[in-house]
Amino acid sequence: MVAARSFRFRFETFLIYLGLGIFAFVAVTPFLHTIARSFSAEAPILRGEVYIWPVGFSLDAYERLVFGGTFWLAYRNSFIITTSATLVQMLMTILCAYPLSRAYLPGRNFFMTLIVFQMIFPPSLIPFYLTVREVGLIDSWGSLIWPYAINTFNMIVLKSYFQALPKELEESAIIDGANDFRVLLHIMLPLSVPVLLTLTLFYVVANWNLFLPAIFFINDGNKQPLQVILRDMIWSMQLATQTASADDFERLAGMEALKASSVIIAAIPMLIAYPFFQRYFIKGIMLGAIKG
Amino acid sequence: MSEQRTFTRRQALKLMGVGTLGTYLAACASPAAPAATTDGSGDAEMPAGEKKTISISHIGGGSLEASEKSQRMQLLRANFPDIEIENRWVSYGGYLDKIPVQIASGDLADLQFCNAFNDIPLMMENEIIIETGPLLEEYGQNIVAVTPAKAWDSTIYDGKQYAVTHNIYDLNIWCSQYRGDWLDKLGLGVPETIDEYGEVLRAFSNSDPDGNGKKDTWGRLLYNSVRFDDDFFHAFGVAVGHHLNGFWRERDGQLALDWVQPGMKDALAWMSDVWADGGFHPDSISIPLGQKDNAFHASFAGNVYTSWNSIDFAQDKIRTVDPDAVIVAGPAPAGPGGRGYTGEGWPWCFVIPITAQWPEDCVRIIDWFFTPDIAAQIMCEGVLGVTNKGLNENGWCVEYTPEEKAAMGDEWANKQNEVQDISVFWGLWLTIGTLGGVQPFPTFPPDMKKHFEDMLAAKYSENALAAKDLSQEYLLLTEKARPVAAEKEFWPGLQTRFGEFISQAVAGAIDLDQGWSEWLDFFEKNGGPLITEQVNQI
Repeated sequence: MVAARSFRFRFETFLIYLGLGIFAFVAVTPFLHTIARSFSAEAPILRGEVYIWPVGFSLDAYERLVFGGTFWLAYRNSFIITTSATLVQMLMTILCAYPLSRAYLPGRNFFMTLIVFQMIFPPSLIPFYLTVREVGLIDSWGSLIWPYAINTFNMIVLKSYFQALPKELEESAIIDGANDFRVLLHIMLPLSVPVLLTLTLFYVVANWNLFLPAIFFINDGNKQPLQVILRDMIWSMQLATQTASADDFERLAGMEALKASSVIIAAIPMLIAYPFFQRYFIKGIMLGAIKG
Repeated sequence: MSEQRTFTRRQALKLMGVGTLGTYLAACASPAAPAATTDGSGDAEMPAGEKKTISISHIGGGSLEASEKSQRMQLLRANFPDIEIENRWVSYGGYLDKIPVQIASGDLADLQFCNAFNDIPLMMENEIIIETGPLLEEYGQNIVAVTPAKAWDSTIYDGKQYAVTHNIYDLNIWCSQYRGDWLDKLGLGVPETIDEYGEVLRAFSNSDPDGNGKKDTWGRLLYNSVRFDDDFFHAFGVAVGHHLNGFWRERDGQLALDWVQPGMKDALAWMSDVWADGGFHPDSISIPLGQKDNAFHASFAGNVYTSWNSIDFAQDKIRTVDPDAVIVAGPAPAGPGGRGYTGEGWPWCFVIPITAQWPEDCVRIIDWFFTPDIAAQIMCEGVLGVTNKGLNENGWCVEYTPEEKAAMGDEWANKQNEVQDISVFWGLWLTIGTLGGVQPFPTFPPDMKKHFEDMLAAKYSENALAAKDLSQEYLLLTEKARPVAAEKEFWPGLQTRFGEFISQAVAGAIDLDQGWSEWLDFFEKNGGPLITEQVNQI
């Protein structure tokens, strides 16, 4: 009986690992393929000979990126935008979520209704664009930060988390003479590290991948984030194939590897960030979701 | 008695709540009224001591900074000291996403780059651009003198002209190209007829033209999922139209869409046969734009339909894989419906919005670029003095020949890298284009004209120049001048349905007779007749 159960247990475990292994393979293979392309010579890429291992190993694409024109400028821009926007977003999200998490806030339901309403019915693009233009944010990084200062979903997650914390902790702090800011800073936030880091990760990823707002609001190419520059590179190549300028064609040599290496370099910061956040990510998102 | 707190917890919470509400209300507030605009009927009065400002939106250069460094922008600024040029550079990708928002919000530059087929109908609907006919007559005679009359057709509405300029560089550059060395090995000639063409595709796929003993070659990889393959469609008297934009020609005194002509069914039946025999690469049905030359360059497709001036580059590229490769161009295959290559016409243009304060100066600026002396400085490929030789003693630009570039070796590559950001459309997108695809202006004096003709001849191989002649000889253009109102509602649906139908028909996924009948029915019931009626009313 025990042996049979043990066999069944082991078989089920094997199936679970097999399923997860297949899933991991499917998820990782495109990434390995892109890495392989980025390190391959152009001809094997065009002939479809590159799968998950480089063919005709070459660092040309990375050299061109490193010494090329706007790529590193865009990288720097993305870093600045991501850092600034995430700081603003976390600050605003906390300042919005905490009062809304307190049951004694007068008109709390009214505020929440307003907030949820705009989450369900966000402003359409043209009025949004005109508003950003009228407040003078066009062509400034502010246009990528202030209109996106609070993500409603993230705010609700944080509010739910705050609500779930024991009231007694807050009450004892108040008895000890703490005001609301001290309660927030010294009681609520230290107890909310998992969810705060999770939301930080959400914001960082969203800001790093920022694309359409930059297209709409930023005209100056020197201020564009990385994702826009990457897309421009691909479009330039496609356009050149249509306009067929001879010099453009010469520049296109090696473009396939260049595209792949751009993707890899753009993904590196997120690849580095995830392992550090992973532990908190799972814990934070589960708590926020279940106790909402 | 405890001391009363001056700032209570409750007050702090209220403050936070009110602040949050205020932020949300501010974000949702309606925008301020747009700034007052002129009616575009003429230039405004210029206050004494102030410079006029003209903004120009364009896609030249890899960045604003690169655009500013370009010869074109520097010449422009130097020649118009009384005008403050506001450089509104935008990347091509950015332009595509941004232009609908700009049109809807009216936020256009004084000189706005756009596409006549996609953007101007929206601009006309929103009534945000001004008529340019009288301005061109007075200030744009250099533009008019070098622009083909037909180029203006797409921006005429109610008999009035709405563009300042259209691209005069040639997008009518398409021709069919073959692996000449494969043809020789197989004992085949460059095909003249559609039957010969089919045989060549089959032989390239099935007769091991590269002689490696493997079945790893194909006749052709179709261009962007059957959206760019008009060379053989014309043999049946029809065309799909580049980018699946449709092709209209006169039939019985009326313009009619090729997509619903019997020849289209014949063309699809022919393609389906070739497909069944393996003549087309299987990725043809899903290939994205910009990828189709890859198969040719990688030496596993023997035929491609592409621009004539890519032929030398393609040959060099293929020779990295197959040193014996030779590329030759061929005529459009002849069939029961005739023969032809589709030209893309003159879609790119500049327009002036109603908000422009100085419309006359806008036209003057563009016209100045079209004066022979200025055009002769800027029409060469390359960045002045870096990737071209600069100006000669007459002030005309001079390009390096392919031999000179080859002799430079790494130095040439370094030069290209040095200015790669400026090189994107030479820093300021203009409708003049570059020597690669443009002929010297008819307004050039004879010696200037000869200078550029000689340069063009030295720039390309004999095969490339022969391809150029073929692309012109078999050129066909759609006879529909511009989009019509009904297209906004019906065309996307017709495009999608037709694209779906032809892909399935070619791959043999549907019965052709039944599919054809269903497609005709769909066309009839989904705006096809209304579009046809409006096209004939232009």
